[in-house]
Amino acid sequence: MEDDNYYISLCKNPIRFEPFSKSNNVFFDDANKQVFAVRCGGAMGVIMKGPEEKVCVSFRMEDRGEIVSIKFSPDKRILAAQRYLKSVEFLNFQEDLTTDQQEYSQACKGRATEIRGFVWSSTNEIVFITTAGLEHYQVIPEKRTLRNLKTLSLQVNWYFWLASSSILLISSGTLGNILHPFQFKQPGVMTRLPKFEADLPAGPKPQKLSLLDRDVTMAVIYDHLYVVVLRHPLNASSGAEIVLYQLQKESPARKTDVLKLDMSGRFAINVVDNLIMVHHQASKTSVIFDIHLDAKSDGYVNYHYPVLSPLGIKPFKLLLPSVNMQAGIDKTEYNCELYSANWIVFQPDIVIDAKLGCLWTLELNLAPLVTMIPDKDKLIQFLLYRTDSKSVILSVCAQMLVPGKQASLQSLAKVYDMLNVTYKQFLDTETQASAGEASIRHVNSKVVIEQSDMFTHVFSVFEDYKDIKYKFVVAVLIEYIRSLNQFNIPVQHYLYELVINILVQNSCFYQLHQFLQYHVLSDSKPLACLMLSLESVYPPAHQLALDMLKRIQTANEEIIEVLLSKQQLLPAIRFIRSVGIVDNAQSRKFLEAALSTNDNMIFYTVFKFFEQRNQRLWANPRFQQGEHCDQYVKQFEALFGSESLMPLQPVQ
Amino acid sequence: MASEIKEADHRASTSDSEAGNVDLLETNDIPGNSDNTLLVVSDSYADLNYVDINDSDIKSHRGTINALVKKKAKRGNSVTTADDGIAADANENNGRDDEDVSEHIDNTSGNNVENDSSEVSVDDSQDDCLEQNLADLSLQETEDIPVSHLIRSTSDSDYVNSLEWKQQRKHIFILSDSGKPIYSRHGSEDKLVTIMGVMQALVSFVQDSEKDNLRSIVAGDHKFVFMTRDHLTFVGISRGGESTQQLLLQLTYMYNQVISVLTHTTLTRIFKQHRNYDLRRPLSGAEKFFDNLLNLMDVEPGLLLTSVRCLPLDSSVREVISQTILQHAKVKDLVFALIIAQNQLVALVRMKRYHLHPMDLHLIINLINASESFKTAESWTPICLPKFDAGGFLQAHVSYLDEECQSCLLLLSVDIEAFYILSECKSRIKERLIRYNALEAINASLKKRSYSIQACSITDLRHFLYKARSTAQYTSPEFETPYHTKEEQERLFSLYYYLHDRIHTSGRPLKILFHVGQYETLLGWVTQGFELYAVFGPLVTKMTAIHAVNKLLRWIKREEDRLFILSSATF
Repeated sequence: MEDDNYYISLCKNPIRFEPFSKSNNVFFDDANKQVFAVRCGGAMGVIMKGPEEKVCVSFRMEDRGEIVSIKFSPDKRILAAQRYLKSVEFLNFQEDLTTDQQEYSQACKGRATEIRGFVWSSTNEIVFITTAGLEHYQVIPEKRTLRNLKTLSLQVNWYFWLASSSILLISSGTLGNILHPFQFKQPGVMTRLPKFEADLPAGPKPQKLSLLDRDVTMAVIYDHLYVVVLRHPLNASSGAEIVLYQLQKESPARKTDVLKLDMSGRFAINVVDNLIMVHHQASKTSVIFDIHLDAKSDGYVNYHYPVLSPLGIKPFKLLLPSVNMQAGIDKTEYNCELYSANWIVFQPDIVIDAKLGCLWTLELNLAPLVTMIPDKDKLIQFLLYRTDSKSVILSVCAQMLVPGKQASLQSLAKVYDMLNVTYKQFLDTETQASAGEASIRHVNSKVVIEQSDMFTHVFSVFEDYKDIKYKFVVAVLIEYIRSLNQFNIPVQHYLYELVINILVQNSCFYQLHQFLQYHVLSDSKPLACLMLSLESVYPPAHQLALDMLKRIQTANEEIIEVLLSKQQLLPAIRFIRSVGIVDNAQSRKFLEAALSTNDNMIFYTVFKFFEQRNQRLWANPRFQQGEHCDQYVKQFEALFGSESLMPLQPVQ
Repeated sequence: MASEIKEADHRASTSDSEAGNVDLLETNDIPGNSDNTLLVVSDSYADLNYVDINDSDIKSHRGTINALVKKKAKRGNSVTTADDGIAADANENNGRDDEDVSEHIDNTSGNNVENDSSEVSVDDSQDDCLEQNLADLSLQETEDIPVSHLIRSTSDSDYVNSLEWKQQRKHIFILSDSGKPIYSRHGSEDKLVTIMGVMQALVSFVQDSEKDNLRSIVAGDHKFVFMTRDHLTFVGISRGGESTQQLLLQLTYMYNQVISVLTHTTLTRIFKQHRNYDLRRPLSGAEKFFDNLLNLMDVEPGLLLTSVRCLPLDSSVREVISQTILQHAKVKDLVFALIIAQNQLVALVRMKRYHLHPMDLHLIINLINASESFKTAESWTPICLPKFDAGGFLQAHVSYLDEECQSCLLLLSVDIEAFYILSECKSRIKERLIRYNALEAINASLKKRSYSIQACSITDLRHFLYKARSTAQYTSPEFETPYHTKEEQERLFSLYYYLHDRIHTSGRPLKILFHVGQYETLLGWVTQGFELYAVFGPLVTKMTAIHAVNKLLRWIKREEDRLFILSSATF
């Protein structure tokens, strides 16, 4: 299968747009993920396509010069376009994306300053990044004016805007390695986070800008914000590496991880499903890093190697309407060139081929990975951090039990522990959420494998493969139960039932007995009932069940029923006495059972017991009307004579 | 007190374990105790083990009658009553062996009564028999059973193998040490010759090697207990709950019964002369005593406890009765005077310095119980009381005081010729007792039966046996529901046997035992002063049982004047 060989692929349905040409400029706004195709400066029309739009939106603009940058506000009501170095023009849009063509403009401050770019920091706020610093404006579309909120002076080499976190990263300094993060969390407020310096390989002389914007990107990985810096090697012998700086709120960003690439040349970085995906153009391969997997650490920084050896992206075939000369065929299959020079990569997972007019998102295929990572611990660990990996994990777990591929109990134990760590975390947050705690629920990206999943998808293997030895089956189940217990997760009854059934089927009653006696299988009412049903094949199960019911402490009624059904009248009475429910005991039930023993001594004892109870409760040894014990009183008189009834005490 | 409860067997006390100390009643106030003892206090059960089974016991008591007779003779000499043949004889025989004296008494007693009083119907079959046997003896006639006779007829072995015989709950055999059958509780001894031979073989085989003795054999749920005394082998076989010691006690009763009929002296002499002697002959007619004694053992706890039950009477009534006897039976040589009603002691007057042993009293009760002939007329019968004196006979004047033959007056004397004097005494006693309404009181008490367990008003207490050790008397309530059927009574009895054994077991005697059984809870408690065996419902807790027992002791203390004879009257 072709699928088995590639774990990275391009999405099946790319966004298509008119390819880049002399008359057609293509822009991509990575904040809104919108592609703009601008023909002849807008006069011939602007076509915008974004992930939200089903069809392309087109509108016209006056051609007042070549557009350098074009971006919609997040609500698509204001279009900002830059044509000149010193100003940005704005155009208001209606809800149906029609425009009145009346532009208004805002120039940057200072004579020598130039606008390097702009970003929408919120619906109607815009930040100009100029050569001299930042200018924060509020756009007032009704008045067609802008209001300056804040201006900040800073030498700017380049900038990077991460829209999802509203973080703006500014490169400053001669070498470009002084990085200033700014946060625009609330409208109108610009928060300056501590600046930090990205370390560079031995500084070149003379000093020049050496940290370039193409080598720096930002990404959210496992809920943390990172500045990802690609560091090229000084000489060809060593490989390039990627350095991750984790942004901190109060302190400068900290260098936490280094990803070793062992290659050099041009790289592109994407982040897919919390994995850092590095594409190497020269070798047309990609590698992935998972910073949560085990890594070497020198105490400060973790050094990571690729999860897998480099492998290319899965070939992509595009069905094109016949654009070439071959008439007669409506559509031709076109093998897209992968890692082409025309590729531009955007965060987090976007690949654009401007020449081809395609916008893809990258996807990770987990199924092929299963065979590529032989170490099951690592595999499960890796898979657990992926979204939508549940079915893959379950199939891996199931595979580990299939004869011929059976894993050792040790590795099964490790795997189950990993599964249950996340399961426990999930349960804890669940209970917190249900307890109504106002804390914002921490969105756990990890996949949760619950007991029911294991039961239906993994342990069902035992049904499918009859040749699995029952000892192994029991061992696996006990291992899983052990793991659940270790994390204080209440074990579901069906797991116990499975263990017990297997033991019973194989007549391992003594083992079962020991499991119960040493509380390997936790007590529960259904389990006790199951044990009761096993009495016919294993008599001690009866006592085990009773003991269990007693330990449960809420099963008094059941215990009484069981004892009475076994005609164990005296134990039943001792039991109700020991738990203090004599007063509410249904005397009729007891007398009935006593009579059914055909043992007069027992009947006598039980009758006398309830007589005494009656005497104590109502100062009268006779049974109350509601107890319907008349027939038993008659029976008693017939057997022992009415003089044997407890005499009525005279009223004092 | 806490230490006492600790010694109770914890294995038996299942469930219902309550925390805290259970306080037992202070036992310095023991109900039914009296310094003025009436019966010999000897815990024959406790003494009973194989080491003690020898004849020293018997020998130590021998000569009591002789002493009395000597005393009488001395007195007789001084008074010089010429017609006192016996005294003269006794006097003459002074220098001789004890045996001879008593034998002489034996002989003369039978003769005298038979010859002198034709109107008195004596239960003399045994005497006749004895007489004849002695005659046989003198003829040196030995009856040797041919060997072919021993390994005989299939019908005999068929009988032994029959289900009916095999399924008997308890077998008792008496055989001579030559293997001759003497008595069997079930079946005719004639048919059991073979099996008796086997038993004797077993006993003698063990005996042959190094002075060993065969004590008991346990086979399945059967227990075989052997006891050899005076050339006799007693074998008890039971599948009931009796322990070896308890069976041994029963065999001892059997032995005492043999002595009671023959006297120890006669017994030893017979076998001294003829090892092969068939003892069935002198004992013929005594089978009913054996049978009755064995039946009594199955229903009368007094034999197990070696104590006597007294008829509940107001102390004033009892005082009247004993005073009446005391005043109107002031006859020389009268050793004991007692009234017995339905196996219960009503009153006992004794000669100073002489005590009646409970075991002897049981033999007396058995004597009355087993003989219907006493009911028809006053009787004059010899009886040997082994604990009193195994060497000779006492003469018993037996008569019933009322028409219904409930209350039986016994006057025991060493004087063989005292019949008429004693008969007169009896008439006077009877007259006075009627006058003082004492007989009426006895009959009323008998009709009322003993007393109900409900009288103690202790819930869950079903039955009990209480023995006051110093007076060798016990009391227990009537059998009531749920022990109203024979089967349940037998079961209850075996429970008492069990409890008694567990407490008195020689290996580990207990002071307190709390035992939860299938149908009832048992509490046994033994102190210096008393033994108490109480039966509760199975649901009783240890705590409530102890409280109930304390309450019971207080109740018995309150009732002790009625239930026990605390003062003994002496001539």
